[in-house]
Amino acid sequence: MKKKKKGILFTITTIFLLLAVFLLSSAYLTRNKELQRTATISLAGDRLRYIEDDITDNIYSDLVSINLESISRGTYVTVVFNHSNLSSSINHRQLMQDYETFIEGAYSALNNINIDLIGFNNSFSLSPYNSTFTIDSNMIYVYTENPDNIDRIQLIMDIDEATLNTSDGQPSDTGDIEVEIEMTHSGGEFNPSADLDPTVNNDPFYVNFEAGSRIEINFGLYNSQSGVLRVNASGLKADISHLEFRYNLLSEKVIIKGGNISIIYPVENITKKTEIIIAEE
Amino acid sequence: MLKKGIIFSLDAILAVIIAGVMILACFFYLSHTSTNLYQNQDIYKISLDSLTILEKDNTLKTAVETNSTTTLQLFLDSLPAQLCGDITVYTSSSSAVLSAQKTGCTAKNESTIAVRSFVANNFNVYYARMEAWYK
Repeated sequence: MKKKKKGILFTITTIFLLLAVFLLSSAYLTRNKELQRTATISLAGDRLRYIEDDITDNIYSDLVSINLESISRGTYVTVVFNHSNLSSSINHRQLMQDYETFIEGAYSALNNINIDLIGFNNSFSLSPYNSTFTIDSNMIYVYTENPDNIDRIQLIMDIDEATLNTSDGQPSDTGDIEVEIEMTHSGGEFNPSADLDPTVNNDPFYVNFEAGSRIEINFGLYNSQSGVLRVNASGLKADISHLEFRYNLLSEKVIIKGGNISIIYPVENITKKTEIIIAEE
Repeated sequence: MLKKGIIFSLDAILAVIIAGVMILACFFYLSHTSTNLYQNQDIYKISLDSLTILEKDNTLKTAVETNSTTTLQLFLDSLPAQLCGDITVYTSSSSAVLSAQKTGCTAKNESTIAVRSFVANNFNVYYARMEAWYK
């Protein structure tokens, strides 16, 4: 009788021990699956960040040829760019459109994700001054919502034109926004400046060349909007080594934004939507 | 006495079956865990990092503009010994223009693929595809 009881006790103990091993292995499997899922989601996060960086990093400098040199804050906020390829032989709008097509098509398929570039083109904006820069072949346009915030504009450029200059000109003073040009070309230098009213259709700064090419810089009223800067390199190539906008001081930090990007990772149904920040203070 | 023997045998067989089932269940569960996922993630992340470095230090751009795989080959050969990889550069319309593979790596085990785009040769868009696997 005693032996029988011992036997039952032994069997029950063994069953409990085996049950414990069974539950332990089951828990291990569950935990392992959870860890795998966490690792997969973590990798998806890394991947989305990588893809965002791949698409947006340097793309404006590579395709629109514009580089931010500096943003400095003192009595004024000064933003300096350079642009190396203002020429009618380059269609910046088409380049950006082709890139968008590649990213939304072949690149998305290669990465098995859905990418949508929204408002992605040859323009970018500078906040808080609401200045919009558009680079379009041989033209640069800079629209500023409130031009009273502009204190000074400076342009330093080198004109790649073999023939000599035939004539030049500049606007007369009409207001209090200082526009200063420093131009080097085959015939020498042209360094005019004027204090201009942004609400007036001011005369241009210009240089004409023997070959019929012309560089022209306008500031003022354009398309019913005041404070528009236009640079037009007609029939020649201009390397702008310094494009400076000096703004009145505002407390908000300067952010330069391109379009927006939306990335959908269908496997985990994760979506990342973000603005393309080209640079910030 | 004979009956007791039979009952004992049945009891033993039952115990062995229960134990066997439980042990098999444990093996079943444990066999469903895998470390491959982590290994693949590791080599995938190495590929992402590699392509990021190659793009940001202009190696990819220079390779396309000089039509040379020397720097890509040097980079691949400097990868850790247990890691294999190859890099192929394509135009945006998926035509291969350059290719390099780590020296001494041939047979591919389970591999991961990463892609990175870049601009070279006067505004042309290219992409590099890196495949990586353990030796």
